[in-house]
Amino acid sequence: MGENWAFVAILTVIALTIPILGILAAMVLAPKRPGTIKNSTYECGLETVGDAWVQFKVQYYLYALIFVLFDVETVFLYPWAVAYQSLPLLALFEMIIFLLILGIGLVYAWRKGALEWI
Amino acid sequence: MLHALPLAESLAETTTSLSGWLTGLFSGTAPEPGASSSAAGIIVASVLKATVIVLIVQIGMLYATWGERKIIGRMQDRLGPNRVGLFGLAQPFADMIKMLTKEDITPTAAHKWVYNLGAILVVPPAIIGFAVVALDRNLIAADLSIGALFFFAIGSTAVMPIFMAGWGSRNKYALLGAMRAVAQVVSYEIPQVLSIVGVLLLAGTLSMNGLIHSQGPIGDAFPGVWFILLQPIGFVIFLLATTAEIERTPFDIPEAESEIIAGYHTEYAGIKFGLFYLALYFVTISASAVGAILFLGGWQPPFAFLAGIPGWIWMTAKTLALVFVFMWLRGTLPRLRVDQLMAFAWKVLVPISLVNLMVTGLLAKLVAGRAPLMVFGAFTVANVAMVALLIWLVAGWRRFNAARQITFERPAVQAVGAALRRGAA
Amino acid sequence: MMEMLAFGLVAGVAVGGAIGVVAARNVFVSALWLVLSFIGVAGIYAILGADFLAATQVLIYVGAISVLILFAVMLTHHVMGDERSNNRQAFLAFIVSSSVVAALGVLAYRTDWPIRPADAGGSVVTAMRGDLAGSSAASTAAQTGASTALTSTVDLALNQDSNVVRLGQALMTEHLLSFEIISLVLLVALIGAIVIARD
Repeated sequence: MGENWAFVAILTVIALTIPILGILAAMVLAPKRPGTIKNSTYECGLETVGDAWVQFKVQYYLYALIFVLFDVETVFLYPWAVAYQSLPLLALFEMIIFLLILGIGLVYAWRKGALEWI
Repeated sequence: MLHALPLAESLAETTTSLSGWLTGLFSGTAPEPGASSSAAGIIVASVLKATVIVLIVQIGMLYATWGERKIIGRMQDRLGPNRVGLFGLAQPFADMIKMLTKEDITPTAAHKWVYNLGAILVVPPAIIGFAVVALDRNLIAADLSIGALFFFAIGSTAVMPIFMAGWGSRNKYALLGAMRAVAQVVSYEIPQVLSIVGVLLLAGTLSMNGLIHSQGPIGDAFPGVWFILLQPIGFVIFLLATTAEIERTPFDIPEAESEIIAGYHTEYAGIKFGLFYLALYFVTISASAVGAILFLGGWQPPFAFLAGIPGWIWMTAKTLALVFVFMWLRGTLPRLRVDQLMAFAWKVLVPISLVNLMVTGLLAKLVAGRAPLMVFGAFTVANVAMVALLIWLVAGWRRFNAARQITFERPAVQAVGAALRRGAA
Repeated sequence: MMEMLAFGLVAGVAVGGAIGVVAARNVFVSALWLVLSFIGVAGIYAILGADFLAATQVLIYVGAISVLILFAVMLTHHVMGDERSNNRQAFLAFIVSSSVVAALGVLAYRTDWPIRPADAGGSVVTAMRGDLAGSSAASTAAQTGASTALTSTVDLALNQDSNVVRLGQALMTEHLLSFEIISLVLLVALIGAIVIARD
């Protein structure tokens, strides 16, 4: 097991060097002639108006919140699924209750329009 | 556990037999008694393994771009790249040289650190997932006990560089593209991870090798068949959710050029732009490989009598088949609208995968220990019933929607007409 | 030795990320540093042999909670630029946080941590503890039953899974009530957020 994680760590380091090597190679190979207009924000090809870092709507936050809840749910589902064959049939109903309670949340979000993209 | 060779010895073995060396290098799961494992040995072996993986994936990525352009070209009645080298086979290298020699422009307004880090960090999550991909019986770099979960956990971190790229660019469309991309990726992550719970439940393991072992060729014991036969609904959900997760057409709204220019990588040029494409093809390949492991039996042959063909050929063929499906989807389907996209994840895929999961759980208990044919039959009946129910529900929903539009559209039209008349008066 | 080195590395990442959160002058950049800190914590779990927890930490914290935090940052108005956060209470905050650190340190030092012998699958701690000669002895001991490559792979996979399997069994038996209450807590959190966001 230790070797596996050591490998993951080393792969992470090597995976990080790939893009860095690419950028370093481009630094050597690519021309470098900066200019005021060239280095201005492209956006959509026109002059930019106002700041880009604006306030976003609450809809994104609601999606992220529902996502976190269901992500936590799946984390509980995984050990349940792996252990399922050694568990009695009761485990299925225990999980169905768990899913139904979260399902109520999904239905509530649905009915309240939290899943609508406005 | 690892068949760790000293550097000189492993290099000597390289010259004798490459495949034997690879098997020796990757034999992390089939230990030879008395195999030495020193700290230096582990590090040397890991670096070699990682380099081999990165090289294979790199070549795979280059030719995936070529293959995609050829395939999409044929689907659109074009030839695709055919000028550089035979059949355009050198095209990917020409593209690489072009990317490297183009000027790398960083906008003055950008937040330099976040902007550059975003481009760099987009690649590692796409590569690290390959650590748990099994190419053959003993050809797996790290057979973690939580393999499948590891893959999805690493995949979930891919949203961070996207966010960094969009925010660091300091561009309205880039930030909007990043916000949309993140919302889309996280929404489709739920059906993606839910769709494979049925598989985990039948296999009773999270380890990639364990998952493949429980999908032996036809003729073996329960579950004994590829999980695509027992979990077809799970497979379709996995395929759709993965397409959205890796932002390929028809779910490529974050880079819908007709709406938001090029999304979060609008401001990137040269090699940094290339890195985003690199990552896109890396995840296409790794997602296909994991799909092949979870649903198509990985390196297992479909029938017992085909066992003579080496496992890595099966694995490569299955992976390429799924890569082709992703390209096929791109060549066939038009892009969705952003509200349709989000609704599809939460209102269609999540409920279906939850129902599929419950039915699978019930069936697994009912048929536990029965003959494989009976297991297969029970699952087929259940799957056909679920699909029929789904079709009935969709048809009913469409009828309901059509009826609602007739009733509600008239007052709306009348109101608009009245307002227009008032305006004119 | 290896274990200490790896621990030092990931602990450095976790603490460095945390320092970055406090030191960064931009809220968005602070949130990014927090993600780095989360990754460091996941590394600590991996070193401790808690594979499932490590993957969960990455999946939930790096992949989900940080998205939630970043979306919350994007909701705020006029804090996106480089601004110093309010520092009037810095001294008070320093006292509170350092006393929390001190209390936790004392607790960690005084607690008698039960150290269980490693399972057959071999946790990272045993595999990496001390000189690696011990680790190779442990791993050979783990595989003494293994005859052919195929069966050893299956056996090993089953052994390694026991961690997750035990977790699943514990959730469904001993901790069933807490498990079901988790879903209620999640439900309440969702309803609360929707109500607040809609008003």
